[in-house]
Amino acid sequence: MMSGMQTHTPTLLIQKYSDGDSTALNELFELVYDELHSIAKKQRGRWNGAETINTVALIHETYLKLWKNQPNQIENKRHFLALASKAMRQILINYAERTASVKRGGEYQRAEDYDLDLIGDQKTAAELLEMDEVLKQFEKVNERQSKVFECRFFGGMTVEDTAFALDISPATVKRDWQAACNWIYEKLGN
Amino acid sequence: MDEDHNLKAKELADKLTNIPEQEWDGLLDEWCDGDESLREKVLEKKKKNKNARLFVEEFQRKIYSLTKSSITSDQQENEQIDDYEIIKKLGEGGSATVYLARHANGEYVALKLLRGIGFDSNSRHRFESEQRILASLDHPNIARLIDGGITRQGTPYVIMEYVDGVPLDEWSDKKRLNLQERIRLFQDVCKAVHYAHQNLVVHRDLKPEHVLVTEKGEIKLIDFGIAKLLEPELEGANVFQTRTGMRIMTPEFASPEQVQGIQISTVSDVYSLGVLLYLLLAGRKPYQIQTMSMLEIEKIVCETEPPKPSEAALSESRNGYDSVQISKQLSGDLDRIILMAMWKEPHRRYPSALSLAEDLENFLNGEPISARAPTLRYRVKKFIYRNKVAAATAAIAFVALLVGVAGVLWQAHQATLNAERAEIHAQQAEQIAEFLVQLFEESDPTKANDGSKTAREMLDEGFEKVQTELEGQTAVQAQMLGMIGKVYQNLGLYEQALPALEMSVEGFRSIQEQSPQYVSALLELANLEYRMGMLDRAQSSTQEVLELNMEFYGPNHPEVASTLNTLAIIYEGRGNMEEAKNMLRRVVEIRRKDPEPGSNLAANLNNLAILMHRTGELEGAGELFEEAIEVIREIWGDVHPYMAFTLNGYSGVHQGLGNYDRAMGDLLKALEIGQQVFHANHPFIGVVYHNLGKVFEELGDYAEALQQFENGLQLRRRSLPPTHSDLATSLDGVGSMYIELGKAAEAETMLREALDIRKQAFEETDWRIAQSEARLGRCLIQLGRLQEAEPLLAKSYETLLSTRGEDDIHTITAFADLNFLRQESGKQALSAE
Repeated sequence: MMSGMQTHTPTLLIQKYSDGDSTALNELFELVYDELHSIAKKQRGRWNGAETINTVALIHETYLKLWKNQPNQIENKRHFLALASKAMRQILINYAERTASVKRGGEYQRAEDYDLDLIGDQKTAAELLEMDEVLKQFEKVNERQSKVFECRFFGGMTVEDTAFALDISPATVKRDWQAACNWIYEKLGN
Repeated sequence: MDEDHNLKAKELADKLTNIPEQEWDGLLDEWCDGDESLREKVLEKKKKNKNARLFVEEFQRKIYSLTKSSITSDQQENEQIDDYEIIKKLGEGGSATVYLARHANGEYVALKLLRGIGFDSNSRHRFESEQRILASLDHPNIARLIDGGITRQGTPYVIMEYVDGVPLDEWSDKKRLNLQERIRLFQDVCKAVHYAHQNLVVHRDLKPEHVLVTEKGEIKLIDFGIAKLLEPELEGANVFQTRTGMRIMTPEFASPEQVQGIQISTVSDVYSLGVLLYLLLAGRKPYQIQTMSMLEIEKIVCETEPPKPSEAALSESRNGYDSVQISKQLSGDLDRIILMAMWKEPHRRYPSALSLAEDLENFLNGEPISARAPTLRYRVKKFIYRNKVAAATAAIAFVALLVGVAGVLWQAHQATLNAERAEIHAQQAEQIAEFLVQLFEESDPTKANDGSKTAREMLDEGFEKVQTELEGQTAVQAQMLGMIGKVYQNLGLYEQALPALEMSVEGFRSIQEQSPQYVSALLELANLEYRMGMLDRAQSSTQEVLELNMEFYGPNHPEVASTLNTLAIIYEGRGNMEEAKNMLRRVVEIRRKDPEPGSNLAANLNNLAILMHRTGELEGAGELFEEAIEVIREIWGDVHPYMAFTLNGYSGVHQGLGNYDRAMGDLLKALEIGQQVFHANHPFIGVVYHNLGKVFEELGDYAEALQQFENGLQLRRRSLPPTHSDLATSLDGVGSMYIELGKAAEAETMLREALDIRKQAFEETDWRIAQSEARLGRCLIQLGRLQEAEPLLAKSYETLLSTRGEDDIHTITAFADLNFLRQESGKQALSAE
């Protein structure tokens, strides 16, 4: 019934993170992973294993679940959106790394990861990892622009959502998005 | 120079970012002022920008291959889609964008791009077959679906008849339509919807924007069935739109089943029609949903009862309309019609859109309508269903609805805990809830009005049925009997509760001696026995429970502690305070060792403190209260029912020590918490008011004390049955303050009512009646009615002397009053021996 205080609610983690505790982000990932796998399991059961599971959709669903439990505070929602994008990125990269490592003769895979097959295509995985690298460089050049990119690209957020999450104007979002695209295109295009 | 040029070009390109492409030419003419190479550079930059975007978007699309909806791309104007030329964007929704377009033959149409649909062959197939069904709809009030297809980029689209119209509500206001005209128009909507339903098409997204009225005053429904096209075929495929708040349906108009994502049917449209009619007639929507949280939306749509349209109309001031007049017109039949369409349960709504139109016709013709107001039976059923997981909770809900027993939330919480403890299986619980529901279904609805007599009848009937109809299902029967016993007990019908609980205990015993259910039932029985004053029986029952629990769990188990707690209360009832305190100390000891003592430690500390307070150990009590407060704060923070209870208790200690300021402070805190965690009429809040009154009384501020007692009284009148003894306590408080303030006439009414209540509750020779008589007597003296006062005071004194003894403060006061009275009336003073 009335359970004691939980230490691992997403809300708390987000608060901790915005208070400067960077370990909170990892905890948030863990939380998302756990949710993810429990949802994946359920889906698998329901679909009798026949269909392919779209992991990106699952991750989104997971975030939706966490989102639903967020207190209705603007600050909190902002942090959540921005963090969710960061977490999305991290998760995608993790999967991409795993796919890439399988190619290299991959040594280790968590059992439950067999439930999910996100980026089975190794070429895409490699490209994604490359993009992550480029983006890391870009972060040093222009932090805000790279954040905008993160929200739009990994978080799949609209211009308005991104503007809300980062507390900047939609026009700025559009400009930043363009600048970031240009940077990526320059490094990875052709 | 070249660098300057580049910089300038970049700057200009940036400036163009948010400007539509067809305006670029003009602007560039102006900005470049003939510098062709600059102009080229800008355009080159723009082209590079676009390529960069396309590159990234393409990459994103690859990764997110199944969640395309998160990537939006606008169709450019003048663009050609198959045979259609885009003219302008008309609107944009969650996963679709509508354009005005022109066919090669010159016909204007609405082109709707459906971005939410999958690319794979499965989705396409579904899209095409749905499209064929929609195209078959042919009704003057429904916009035709002309064509459909898939763009080169792979986005499906539909072509619909272009309707140049205004949303229904807007149009009605603009044309200043009266009630009748509005209803007539709305009936057309219903009939069109009905036509579609007969062709197996559900609209799924009825809202004013989809119900247009043309220049000619004709209804045109648009987007019929489009929502279904946009529906994801797999759960979860569409969730991202949800997160960003763009949802297919409009939450204000969506039915509960839509919000919950369960089976949608034609009556889902009936619900939305109800909301539409609500808006059309009352001038506002039943719910104002501002949140984007699906959880909250679901809560509002599925659990909140909308205000009656007639009430809503009152709160809405519309230009040129008399809201009082409108409210009057809506009140009654129209309220019922609208709310019937809007039932949360699909099967309770009008079975079809046509039947809604027909009932409106009945209304217009002044004939009786078929919609009915909800019955108590219905409300009870609903409540029980909501709580059916824990059957015990249902029982509490049952009582609450029928007689308004307060403190329901807290009790329900406890009941759920008990239910868990008793290991009621979900299935059993379900069976029990079903049974309760049936009980109400079969009762005559006309008799099922509020009032405990009917409740009592139903309960009696249930008791009978459980005994006969559940024969052979011993476990369910025993559980059910236990529940009924509990309900009787909560209604104060102890005589009826006793056999029910006894049978429950016997039932469990026959299944398995010493099972957890048996123990739990026995404990319930012990509680009842205690309340009935059968202290010997209560003690032996509890003792048995205690022994069994010790055997099950060992001496230091929480179960043992809670049984000891009950036993302590029984000892206290027998006047054996020392033994009671010792037991509670044992309890507290066990709890303190518990790594997760939780709420129990707090409760036990509180109980022990109260006992110590009562036996005069004020300081010890204070320490325990302090500890309890610490524990509660640690577990729940400051705002919790337990905190309120404990502060209230603690304030008594302060008062006893003469620290009136602290007493007042703690009471005010308790009041503030109570008002946050309980409903406004919760009995506890009445207790706090009363205690505040007592502190003010001690301080000699009788006017303020009167106010507080009065607050408590008003609250108790609202929440307690008229014969409840707490009501008498409040009446005493108010009456005494009137006496202090010299308003004996007002006091008399109060004190007489208090005396009447007590006479119903207690034996004629009970000291509490005596005390009540003494107060009334004192009041009558003040009023100069000595002859009436005399017998009251004399009887009171006799009773007090024999029950409380001559040293008791009440006895002494009564004696003094009687003495005074007799002196006054010239009689011989009674000598005190």
